[in-house]
Amino acid sequence: MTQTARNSGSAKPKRGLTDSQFALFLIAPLVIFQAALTVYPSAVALWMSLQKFNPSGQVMRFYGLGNYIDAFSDPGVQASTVISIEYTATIVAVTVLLGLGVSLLLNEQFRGRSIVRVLVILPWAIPEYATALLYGNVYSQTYGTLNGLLMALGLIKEYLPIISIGTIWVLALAYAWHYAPLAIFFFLGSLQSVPEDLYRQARVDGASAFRRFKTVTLPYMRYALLIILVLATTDALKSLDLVWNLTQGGPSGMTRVLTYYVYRATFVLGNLGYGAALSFILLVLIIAVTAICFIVLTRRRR
Amino acid sequence: MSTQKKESEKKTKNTNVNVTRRQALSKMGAAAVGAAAIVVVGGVAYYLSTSQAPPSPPPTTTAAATTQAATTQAATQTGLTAGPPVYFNIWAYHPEIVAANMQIFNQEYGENCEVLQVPGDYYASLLTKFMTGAGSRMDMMYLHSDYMTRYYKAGWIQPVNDEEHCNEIRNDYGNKNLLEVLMMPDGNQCGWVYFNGTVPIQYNGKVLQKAGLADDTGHIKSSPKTWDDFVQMCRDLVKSKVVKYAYLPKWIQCGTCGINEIFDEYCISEGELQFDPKTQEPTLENDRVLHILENMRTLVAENLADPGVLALNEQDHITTFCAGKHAFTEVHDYDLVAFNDPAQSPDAGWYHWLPAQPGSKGWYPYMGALYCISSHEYMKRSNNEAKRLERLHQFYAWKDKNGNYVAGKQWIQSPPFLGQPYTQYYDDPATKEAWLKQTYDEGDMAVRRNAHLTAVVPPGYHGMVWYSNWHEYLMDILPKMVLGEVTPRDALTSLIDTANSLRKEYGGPEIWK
Repeated sequence: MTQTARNSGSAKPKRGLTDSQFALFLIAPLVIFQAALTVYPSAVALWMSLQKFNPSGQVMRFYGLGNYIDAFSDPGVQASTVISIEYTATIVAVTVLLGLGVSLLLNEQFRGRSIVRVLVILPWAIPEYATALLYGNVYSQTYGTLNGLLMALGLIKEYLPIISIGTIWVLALAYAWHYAPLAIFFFLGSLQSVPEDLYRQARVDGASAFRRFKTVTLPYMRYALLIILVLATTDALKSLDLVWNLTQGGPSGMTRVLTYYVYRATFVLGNLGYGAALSFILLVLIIAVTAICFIVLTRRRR
Repeated sequence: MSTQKKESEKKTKNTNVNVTRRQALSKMGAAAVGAAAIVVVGGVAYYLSTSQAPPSPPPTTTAAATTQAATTQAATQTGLTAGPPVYFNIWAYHPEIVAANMQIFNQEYGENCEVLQVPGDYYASLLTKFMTGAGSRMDMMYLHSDYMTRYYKAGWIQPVNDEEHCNEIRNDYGNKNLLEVLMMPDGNQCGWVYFNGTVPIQYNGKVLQKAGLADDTGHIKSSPKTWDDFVQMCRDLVKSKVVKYAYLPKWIQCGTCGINEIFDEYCISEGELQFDPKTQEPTLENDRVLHILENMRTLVAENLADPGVLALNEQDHITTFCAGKHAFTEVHDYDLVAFNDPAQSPDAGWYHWLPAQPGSKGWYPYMGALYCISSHEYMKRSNNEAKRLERLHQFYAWKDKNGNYVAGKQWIQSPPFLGQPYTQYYDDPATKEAWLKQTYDEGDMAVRRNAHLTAVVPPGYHGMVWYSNWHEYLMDILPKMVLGEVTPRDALTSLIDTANSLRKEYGGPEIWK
């Protein structure tokens, strides 16, 4: 018997697809969709990051890792990275603290709690762009509501250039105002899963309010807390609208976050290769931060 | 027993049709593929049906049909046939005026052209469009001059040298300096002026009057002749305690209209053009430029200029000056309307231009934008389409088929009165009447006319594909310098080094050969 005959004799008749093939068939549309929207543009961006472009958006020459090397030696990138870290750290800290405080309050029983819960979530529903416009009015040196409030309280004698004084910090506060409701949403959900019996037992044991929070509440909120840490950190690092609309990186580059720097390199200066390289550096930074958060989460779970 | 059981199971299987999850998904998948196929076929059919030229209207006696016949006749008269819409992409600035003009054009020529307002950041959208072809079609568009240079070099802008009436339009321009804006180093002209203006110093007469520097009508008594005079006047104002800061310079963060543009303003008023137009080498190493930088620093160091402006955007800058807390600023000339609008400013009616720009030359800088036509593989067009587009281009930038200035007149005679390149507009009684209604006085009108017709274009504008990089660098270094982080001398050295470095990196005039 020849090999061919053996094979043909032993081969099972095939009808339709195998389970694996069928599974692949099912996920194929998603894979194609993802490839079209993510993989392909990323590949193009990677290719661009290895080229030297002129301001007309034309490739001048293959530049290898030159754009990445330039980025690491660019004082503007270094300054922007520091500003981004300050911006992100402030946003995360304020978001978490505000989220915790408000969610603890909203977890209490009081009249009109449902309405307050709805109102509290509203800032998150406002787009970042609209938040920027809103805070332009709040911080304005000429007609700003914050200046008006401070003046009414007798704390200032004349309107102050709040953005010039507070720079990246006041922008971070605006973003945290926009973002904190998401934290409240997550934290409130966690708080409602804490069994009331545990609080009772803790009270019986004479635990103080702080002790009850630390030993009873916090363990239940840990996962929500870590999710918010990851989300707030990545979203703050990616944020551009607020800076773009409020200050365009000013005054004197003091609010020039890394995303603004990427935007400027790409769309204003037409240096597409450099902009792409900076995007990948930002991506690595975001992945690193996310990974750290998840490692912390995994360790705690063990 | 076992035989009976098997038969029973067999019966059960026959009566109850069990569908596995896999079978269900298979059927759903097949249905989805079928639906997708229908959508694709339908889409192709729709595309084919709409991409053909519309049929001629049947002869009827209705008013609509009469109009259609008239417009078709208008299109035919010029030997052009109607076709798919030609698109004019605009940024968000008084789109209602653009749309009104488009309506007139469509009626006059039996056309179906459309205005598309680009959402978000205009140049980012344009770049994306040119790089990827994504989104709606783009035929005509606005461009600032420095972007035009870059886009033309990239092959995204079409020269207009061969347009009919090209020389007539050139000759019609009141300020021939504007032709410099349009010309590329290779001799091609890349567009027509959409609007042209200047950045003159404006003052609040009420504030000056309180300090005894303006007469009863709020007009300045003695206009500063030099920038040193100007700085001294700011000192006097602050000393008089009428205002905390005398000057709200337009030192904002804006790529096309911020501290970089104001530096150009200072330089041009002193006759300093920053770059040699032929070699594109910097000409900044001189005492004039150093003194300009020193004055900028002095204004902040002596608390004469409001440093808070460094964090403002363009609209906030205008609003801040409207509040009446400063004596001087500079903005694009059309913004005088905002200052003199009672709804926006408590001191409306008190704002005027300085009769002459300070500086040894007193020249005004050109600022403005152009109408350009795209040229790209994504925007291929037939000869018929190209001619229709040319007609649209000239309608907006010059005259209609009857020889009337239409679009430009709308701009210059409606608030905020965008400047136009034709002298006729300024001499038109209708323009005068419209301007006087908006609290312009005769003196301001004369200043504006003079400024428009004599504005000087920085030679650095032409053919420097890296001009945006230069302007962005000005936005980096100048705020640091005015805040005292860098000395004027170091800032000047840095400016020269950067100019040389950009020229070396991206090329000088040789890239156009």
